[in-house]
Amino acid sequence: MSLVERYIAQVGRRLPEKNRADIEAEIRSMLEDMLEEKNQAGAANEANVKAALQQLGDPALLAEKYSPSKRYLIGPGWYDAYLEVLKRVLTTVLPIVLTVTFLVRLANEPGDVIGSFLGAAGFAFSAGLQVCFWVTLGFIIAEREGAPLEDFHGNRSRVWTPDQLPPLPKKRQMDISEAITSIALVLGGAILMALSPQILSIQSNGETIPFLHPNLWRVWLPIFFVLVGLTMIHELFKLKIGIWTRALTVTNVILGLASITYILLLVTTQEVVNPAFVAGMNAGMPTLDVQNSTEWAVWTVGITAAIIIGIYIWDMVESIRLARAYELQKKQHS
Amino acid sequence: MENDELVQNILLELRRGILSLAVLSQLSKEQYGYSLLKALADQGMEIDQSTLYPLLRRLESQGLLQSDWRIVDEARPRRYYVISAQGKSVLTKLKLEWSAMMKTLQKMLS
Repeated sequence: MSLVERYIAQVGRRLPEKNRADIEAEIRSMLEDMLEEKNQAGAANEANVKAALQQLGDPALLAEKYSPSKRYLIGPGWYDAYLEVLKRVLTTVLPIVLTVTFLVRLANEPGDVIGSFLGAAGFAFSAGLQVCFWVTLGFIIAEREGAPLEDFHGNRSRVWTPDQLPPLPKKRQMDISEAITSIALVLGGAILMALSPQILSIQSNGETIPFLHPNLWRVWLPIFFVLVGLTMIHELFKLKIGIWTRALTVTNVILGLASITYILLLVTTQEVVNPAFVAGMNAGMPTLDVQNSTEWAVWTVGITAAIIIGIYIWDMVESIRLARAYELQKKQHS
Repeated sequence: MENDELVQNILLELRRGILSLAVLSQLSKEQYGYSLLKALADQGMEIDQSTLYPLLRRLESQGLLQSDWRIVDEARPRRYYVISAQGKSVLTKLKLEWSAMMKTLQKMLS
């Protein structure tokens, strides 16, 4: 009988405590019935026992039939909601965490842009893992303990009517994460400029020499901050509206043109690079000659300006293209 | 998939639905699991033990069957199942539904 008992033990350990003993007794009784019949045909032997057990099949499957359990963490009823929540939380939380930690670290450690960014990225990564873990855990609990989304047996679930259909979501043209990223970039640029006397500078003879010409602080940098403020407000509206409406597109183009004009005027009419900075750099490295260093500084400013202007032009063209697509779509629907 | 396999799959689904009906119909007189299995097999309804026993339990937990351990004819104690009052009224309704369904399908298939 030891084979029978071993089989029953294998089934029993997979059953809930509540009715384990009862089901075990029933399986034992059923096996005795089977063996009785088989043994009438021939002698009681192990071959018969094995045949009977073979007929019942895998103990794990038998136990599963007795108490169907959930063999998944998150079932089809919750899966879509789970993915949606995970996606939304990650795309909104991570850029914010990344930006805030980056700025905080930069404020504590001015000048260490790369170090601050790496530290912030590491922190954002572990924050992302935390988010994944807690959201998943929440849904596992909901799967096990929450009301079933669709109840097979009962009619407890409320009656569905077509009126309950939610309206089609307005299709966003701008991703939330994209908008947050550009806000973070603009904010980062502004902070870089604001801290530039410390961050973009060199130390020479115990003095801090900024890269940017100090004269810029009188008019040009304040204008820069005004432009940044306007851009931020515009980005927030983009975030809220989500579609390239006519007003949003027009302001985008105006802001873009204003920024490009600002940059062009700044680069062509003003001395952007601090001559003392170039001199200080040369003093630190006697192998450089002044002519080359000045050229290098001018090139750096020029290339940066060209890249930024390129981005602005691309952004304006893209916004006009999407606005046209939106207008076309509206016409087709009406 | 092979045709035979497809037939087997669909048959399995069909049988799953009607097994409850077959079991309820045979339990107006009390039976233990193995005797019910034989009774069903004798009438041409083959069913695995590993399917029948859990099914009996599920029907009991739904209140359609009653059961208790008993010794009959000085044999070993066995768990005997019999249809409950609720089971009887459910069975009556199911029988009506079944014959209506049979008529419909006969019309469709002929």
